[in-house]
Amino acid sequence: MTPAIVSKSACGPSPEVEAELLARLRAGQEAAYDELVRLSGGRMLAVARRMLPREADAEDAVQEAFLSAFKSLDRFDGRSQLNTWLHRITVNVCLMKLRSQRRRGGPDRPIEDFLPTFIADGHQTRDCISWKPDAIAGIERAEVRDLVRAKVNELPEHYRVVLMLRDIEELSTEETAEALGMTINAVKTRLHRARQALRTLLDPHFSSTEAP
Amino acid sequence: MTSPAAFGTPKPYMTCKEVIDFIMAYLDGELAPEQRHEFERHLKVCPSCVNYLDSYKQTVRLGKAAMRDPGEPAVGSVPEALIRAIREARSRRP
Repeated sequence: MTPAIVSKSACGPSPEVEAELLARLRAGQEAAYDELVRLSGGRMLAVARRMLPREADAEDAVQEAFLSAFKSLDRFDGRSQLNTWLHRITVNVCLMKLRSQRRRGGPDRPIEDFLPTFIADGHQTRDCISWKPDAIAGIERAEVRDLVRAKVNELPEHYRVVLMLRDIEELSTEETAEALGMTINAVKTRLHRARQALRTLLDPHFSSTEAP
Repeated sequence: MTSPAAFGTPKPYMTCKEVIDFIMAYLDGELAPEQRHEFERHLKVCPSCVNYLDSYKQTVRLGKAAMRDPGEPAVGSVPEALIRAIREARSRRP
């Protein structure tokens, strides 16, 4: 679980503060463990909440991630920031939880239901209408953020996960492929389809022909 | 017999399907120069694909902005109950 590549989404304490905390953790100082949880737990919880819809699952994931990190502190090689390492462990724990939940859940709608369709000569079946120019500005409003989140959560799970890892958690294509056991090309294809599907779901709300 | 190309028959345009399939590669700068040229040549004559490309880009931005809530927990905002739970779980697992 040791990530060698630095993710863009994690930031944290200065290298000096981190090195000092790490030394105390490795020395087994009790207070250092709580300090790490207080220092990094908020970011980890935010990641888990984005990936797992239920609050209890998100908190469980953060707990598991910390326990896993404590256990493997000796294997943290310092090539990435501590927060980046914890971010990646949290993502991996969330992925494991999602896998076990998926086994219990029902089937998703096929992605083709959300993709554009074409006639035989390759033209779109239906012309695409422009979106309102201020669509992105609406994101300041809580109801617009809630709408977009709800639509992300409507994506078929295999596609939602790739979109979350690439666009939201900002893992690289290579990191995403490694985390999901997929090829790089498969990640690219799935991300493109996930974005197309999300576009389809958002289209009725942002199309310039619709009421705001 | 002379081939139609010799008379300057216009090169066919990429189809909308090809353009939409290539959008991500286009935005990531992964198209070869000739493909990029063809992609942009299609956009010049197809308002529908221009709209699709624009709404695709907005979708990515909306997704990022919505999921990364500015009010998301920051440092020090871990629930105390969770901190206690982690401490207790750690003490049970030497």
